[in-house]
Amino acid sequence: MKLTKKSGAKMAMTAAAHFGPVSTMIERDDNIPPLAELVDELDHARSIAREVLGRPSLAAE
Amino acid sequence: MLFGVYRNAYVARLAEVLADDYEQVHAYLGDAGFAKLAKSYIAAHPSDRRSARDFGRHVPDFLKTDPGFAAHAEVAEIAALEKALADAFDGPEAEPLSLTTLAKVAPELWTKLVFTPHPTAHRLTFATNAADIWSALHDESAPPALRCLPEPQAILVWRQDVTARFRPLDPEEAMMWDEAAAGTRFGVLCEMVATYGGEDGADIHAASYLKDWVDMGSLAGFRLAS
Repeated sequence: MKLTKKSGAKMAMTAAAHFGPVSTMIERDDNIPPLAELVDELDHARSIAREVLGRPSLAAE
Repeated sequence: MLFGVYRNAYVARLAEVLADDYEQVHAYLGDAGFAKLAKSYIAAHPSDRRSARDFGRHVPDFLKTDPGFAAHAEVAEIAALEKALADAFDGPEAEPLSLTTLAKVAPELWTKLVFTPHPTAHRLTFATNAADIWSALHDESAPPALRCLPEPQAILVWRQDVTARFRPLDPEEAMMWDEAAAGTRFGVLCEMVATYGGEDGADIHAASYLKDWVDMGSLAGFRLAS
């Protein structure tokens, strides 16, 4: 039994991520890095999405 | 002529209307059984509307309560499915919700999504394997033996493009559909799936149900709850 319960809002967000290459989400629990780092990660995630999908994701437009 | 037993041409015409509307009930009961149903129904529900289309609308309820048929629940369920399919076929037009439209919603807003079922969508719950019997009769093959199901069978009926369709829903999907149709937010639906089927993969389950509904064309749109 897990002590923490995922919120509906969080599950809804991860569910959204299953709907095509539209959104890129970085999962994170308590370890919140500085914004600059997050932005870097997001850029990295998007560049991977571009490579894999061969086109820019909607979120990167 | 099938309903030649009727001397009265008007009654014979009504019996033919019923046979058209309830083709698989007719196939299931056979000519003699269906003639008996038609005769009792016409006596109990005189035609009260100009359109023949509406004449048979009480047949499923009639079958549930008529002493001659009430003991055979599958007959009323086959009739309910035929009526739901006919209603879905004739139901209002609405553009189905597309994946493209849905995917434009920012992920952080998904918790607030409230879906609108397609106006032709209708839920049925069966105690017997009437849906399998209907399918076999529709395919003109021998129907399976009647079974009373251990758990009620949830059925969703709707129109996709120009075809009226139905699909059985498993209990988890049926729960989620009923809540979604009642206006429950997607975030709460996810929590319900997590409670029902376990937290692991609940988001994926919820997403795959939703994706199926969009693919099926059984949703017409969404709004964001405040």
